[in-house]
Amino acid sequence: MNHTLLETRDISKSFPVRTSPFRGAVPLRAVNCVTLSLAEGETLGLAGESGSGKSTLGKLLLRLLKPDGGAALYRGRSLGDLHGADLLGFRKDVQMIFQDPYSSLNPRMRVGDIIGEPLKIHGLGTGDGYRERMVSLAGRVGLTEEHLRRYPHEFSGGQRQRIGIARALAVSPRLIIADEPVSALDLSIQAQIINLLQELKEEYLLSFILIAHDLTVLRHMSDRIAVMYLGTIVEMGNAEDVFSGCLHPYTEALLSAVPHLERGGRGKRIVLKGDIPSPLAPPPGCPFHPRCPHAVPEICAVRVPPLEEKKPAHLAACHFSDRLFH
Amino acid sequence: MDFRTSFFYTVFWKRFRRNRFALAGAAVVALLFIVSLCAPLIAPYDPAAIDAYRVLLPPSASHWMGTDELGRDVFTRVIYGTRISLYVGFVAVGIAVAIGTLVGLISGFYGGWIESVLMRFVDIMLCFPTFFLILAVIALLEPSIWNIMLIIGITGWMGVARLVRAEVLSIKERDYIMAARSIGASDIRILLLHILPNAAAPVLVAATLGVGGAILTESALSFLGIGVQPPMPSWGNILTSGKDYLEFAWWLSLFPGLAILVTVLAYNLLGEGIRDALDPRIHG
Repeated sequence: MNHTLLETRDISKSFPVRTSPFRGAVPLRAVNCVTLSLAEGETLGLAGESGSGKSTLGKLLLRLLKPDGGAALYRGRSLGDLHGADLLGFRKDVQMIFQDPYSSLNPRMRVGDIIGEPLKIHGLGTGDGYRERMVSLAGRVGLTEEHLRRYPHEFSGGQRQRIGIARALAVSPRLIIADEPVSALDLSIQAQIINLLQELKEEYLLSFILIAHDLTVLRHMSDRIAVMYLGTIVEMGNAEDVFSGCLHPYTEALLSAVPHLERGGRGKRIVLKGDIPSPLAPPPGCPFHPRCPHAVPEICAVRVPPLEEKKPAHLAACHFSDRLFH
Repeated sequence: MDFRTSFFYTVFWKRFRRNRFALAGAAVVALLFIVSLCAPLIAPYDPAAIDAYRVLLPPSASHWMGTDELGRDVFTRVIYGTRISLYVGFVAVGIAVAIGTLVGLISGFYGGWIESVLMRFVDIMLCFPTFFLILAVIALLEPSIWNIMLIIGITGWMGVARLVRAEVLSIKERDYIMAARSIGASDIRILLLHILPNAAAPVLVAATLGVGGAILTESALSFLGIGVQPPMPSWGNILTSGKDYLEFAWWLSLFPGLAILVTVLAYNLLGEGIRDALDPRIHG
């Protein structure tokens, strides 16, 4: 159970952005020296605002982007070194679920062809087994055999997301990276999809990397949580620890923004000032200090806080986490 | 095929049939197909039969469109000319679409220096005045129907290439392409199964409009005597003989001219109708 499936070591990715035709390209640092690991069977939740680099990190983990620095390793092997059959094996083991159920399905392919494509690519797309597998896959995610003959535009967002999940499940993956799998869906549908993912995880012993900006979604499924801000991880720990006693002011603000039905006056909502800073010109020192309610300018604006183990298996990148969150 | 649930049935046809001009264009194009397929059944005479006693007769019950300077029935020749026109139009456009799609797919998908080289080549090709390029090439080669089709195709693919490239650039950023990559699909598979079918709609429009253009070019070349060679009847070369007798045999110019007008108009209406029915908001 404690085998490391996927890990990153100081992985970084920046994109050249041309802000004016007269100046050279400025690097946009989307992911900045991120180190994390995922054990087999584990679910890691990646939280953060839009622009925090969590989707870019997801693409790096899937080898859909090449890192500028550091590496992502799948079962101990760097993704950059995978070729031929090894790469195909990785593509079979690691699947993705997308945020937008509309643009993630080819509108000119029938649902059956969409779900069957991974099987065909991995040489499993023939014979009686194929048909049976398709029908059972469809049934497992709540679609019928008849749905397989239709086109994606005939389905609702929730059903389309089920199609995307069936496609990810088709080749019996070990790990599924889900990038905001429910944020485009209605609230009532969100719960259904989350429950479906939870069931599948237990049934097929899947590992998950769940990317979401909504902490309630993560709380439900994650074993561990990593909170990202401006391309770096600012806090990482077991889900229970993070939710019950966070160690970073940013996480604190995110948690206070989660609506509670049973709130009853307790818990003050922390409203962050301003927007996430531009990753083109990240602030010096702690990336969070311009918006941090506890920032001490002499320290926070000067020194970058390292991501350190503040409590057992609970890491945070804050100069004052010991003082703020005892 | 489960026709009723396809994209074509649910969206395209419902929009298309509301457009009266497009339907008229489609009807004329269909009629032209039937006429060219059944030419020997429809035509009352042999298109090459010379009759020295019936030269330049005006339209009458036995010769609906009159006869030409060699006594051949103009109606028969216009009907056989339909065959030539459609043949040239489709083959030439087929060549243009094949080259243009290939160039557009490759340059849009791979980008970088491949794209730069291919697109600069497109720019160079577009710098030539097409018609004079065709004239020059035909002057070197022998004027024949094959050379006409080939040369119209080879000089007409640049628009399609640009169109396909632009489509590919937008399609390749969609999530379903990333999804295909993440399940291990090869470049060829992504290009043929995921990008090409989604880029096909504007190509269809361009091809339909292109058939009209190709027919016009063929007529012009035949009119100038360097296209389809007599005695093979083409609307263009019927017009050529018509111009010599314009003062006293108007029918010799009017009917092939009308045929060209109606045909090109029909293709343009059909092409524009398809374009309107494939509104960008719903395609892709």
